[in-house]
Amino acid sequence: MKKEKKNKVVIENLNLFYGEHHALKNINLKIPEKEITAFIGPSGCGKSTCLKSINRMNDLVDNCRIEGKVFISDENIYDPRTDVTLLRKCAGMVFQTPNPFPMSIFDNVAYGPRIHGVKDKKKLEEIVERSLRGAAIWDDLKDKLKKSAFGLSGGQQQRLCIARALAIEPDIILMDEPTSALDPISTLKIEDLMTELRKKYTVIVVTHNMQQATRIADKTAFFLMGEVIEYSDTESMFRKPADKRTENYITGRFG
Amino acid sequence: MELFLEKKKFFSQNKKIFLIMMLSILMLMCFLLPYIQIIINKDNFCVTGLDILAGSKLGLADAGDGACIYFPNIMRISVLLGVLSPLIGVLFILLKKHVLAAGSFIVGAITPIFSLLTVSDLKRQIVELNISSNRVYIGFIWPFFLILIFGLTSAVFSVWLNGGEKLAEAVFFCFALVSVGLVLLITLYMIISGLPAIIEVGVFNFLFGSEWNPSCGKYGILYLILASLLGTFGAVIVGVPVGVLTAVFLAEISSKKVAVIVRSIVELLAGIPSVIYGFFGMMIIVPFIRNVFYGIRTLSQRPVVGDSLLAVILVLAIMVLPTIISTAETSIRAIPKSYKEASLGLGATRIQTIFKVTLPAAKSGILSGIVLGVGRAIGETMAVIMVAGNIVNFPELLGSVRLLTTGIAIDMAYSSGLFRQCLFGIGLVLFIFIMIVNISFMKISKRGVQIDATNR
Repeated sequence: MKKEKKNKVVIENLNLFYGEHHALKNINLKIPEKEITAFIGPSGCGKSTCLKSINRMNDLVDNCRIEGKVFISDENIYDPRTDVTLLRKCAGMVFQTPNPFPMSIFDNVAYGPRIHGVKDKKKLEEIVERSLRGAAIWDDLKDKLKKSAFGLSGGQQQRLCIARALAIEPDIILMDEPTSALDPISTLKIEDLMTELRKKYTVIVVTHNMQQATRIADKTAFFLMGEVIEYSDTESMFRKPADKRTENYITGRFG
Repeated sequence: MELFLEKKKFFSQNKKIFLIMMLSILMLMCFLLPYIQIIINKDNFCVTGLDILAGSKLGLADAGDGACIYFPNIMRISVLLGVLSPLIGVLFILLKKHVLAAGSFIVGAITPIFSLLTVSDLKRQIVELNISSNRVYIGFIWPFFLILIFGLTSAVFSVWLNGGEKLAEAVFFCFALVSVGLVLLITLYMIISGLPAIIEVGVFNFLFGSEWNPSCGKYGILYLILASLLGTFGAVIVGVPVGVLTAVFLAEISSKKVAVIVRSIVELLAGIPSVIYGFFGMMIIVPFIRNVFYGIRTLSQRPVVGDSLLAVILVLAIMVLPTIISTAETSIRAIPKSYKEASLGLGATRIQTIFKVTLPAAKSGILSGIVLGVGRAIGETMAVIMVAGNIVNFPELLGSVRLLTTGIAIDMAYSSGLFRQCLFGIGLVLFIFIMIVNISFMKISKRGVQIDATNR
């Protein structure tokens, strides 16, 4: 038996509506600390929506209504007194397509620390180096920090985006299909990076790719039509799914 | 069976070339026909191209013996161009440069229009003869239209020669060439009519002379240039923050309903005729300045009357707003949503995101909006004339000023001789400014496109 870890994110009775559409139905999840949790499921099943409700990125969507509670480190983030910017600083996000800012590589990584008030140049340089090392891309980029981030390859851009998320020193890293726009080799590198990140951060990753989930995730949640059908250790889910629908999906009968 | 082979065409290449030759010969012959009619009082002249080229004069019966007027040089140049261009066109055809040939034919076709621009010069000559000119008329008679038709047709045929293109494409292309040709002709006209005065006064004296006093023969337009530049600069300084912040509000902050209302009001602002802005400036801004700065004297020890550079700046700032707002809003909206998401996802506030990510990313678009606004401000005449005070002064914020545009507009009605030519010189200076503005706009927007391309 594995040692039970502390739960970092706890989702309780989460319901989410886009206008009339009931996008998330009664979600309950306990996501342990310093592990990789994967959300899988067919398109439109609500897995990305659920991910975004963890750092309240859904607030940006018009007509979006949320009921229920999400606790991060035992604090309800949907409490009206929550400071959303502090929350997002604690839960960094990496998006589906690499989206570096139109700035230099250095400025990209330093963006987060700067908006959170770090002005000292020495300290910024330190943070940038640490973050780029954390994203395993320091050796590639250390000589071209002043160059535009757009000159990088897709895989490098995505790792830069991960470094940018690391620079704000989050506890949780949310990844929304981080490899779906990348080639197999870049994907492999990002996956290696994720297992590396697992040591220090709680990683939650949405993925379309079930092999990816088996390769990297400790726990997996299967979403279908806005509901969590099954949530358990990755190994046991893929070896012996408890629900018929999960089995149908992971054996490729639909989705 | 020949199912898909092209049918034999009526116009073979050789036939087309032959037709073009014929048309150009006809066009040349039209210049021998009288195609311009000049009526001065009782005298009625029908002038052929040959007359103009040969430099014959028009003797006026009213003014007694020997009194005559001459064809201005512009007219001569335009006829020369008109005669040469069909020949050049044919030469290009023989060299198989069909597009250049078409351009040349079109220039030939529109040169007669150019001759019309010389009315003012003829009038000036009449004034100098001291006869009453209650009836001066310059117009075209039918060979003019033949020149136009022959020229355009041969242009169309030359483009048609260019491979297997369709006739319709050739026609469209030629119409595009007509507008290009008109722009070139206007440019040429500005240079021909403006340059002589500048040379006569002296380029340095004209551009950097600080005294504008036509009655004493002083034609220095430095203060006019400075006033124009400062007025435009000031309008940009005042207008850009307001405009860009409004654009940010429309694109990022306001709800859709509010944005629709505000945007349509802004668009309305763009449609208001400039004379109305002049009214507004005259009735509200000028008295406001007069009252606020009551009792204060300008640096040149004049009382503040309200008509001032400041009033010009404020009116122009309002007038450039719609341009700046709509361009800036478009470019802000074009910024990929992913930038915003990334920034917000890192814990930035909306305002931080706008100022640190969105605006820097949209800067080339915003800059081109500003340049367009500068173009509008520097050429604005009517609204400015009503609030500027129109005294040639060293431009100071609260003093009356005269700008390049108002300088032309005010004196155009009564000036003559070198004075009048100098106004054309001012026009040329203004024209060059506008050209610089437009070219920099093109450079900036092209750079913007390149940046967008690398983003993808």
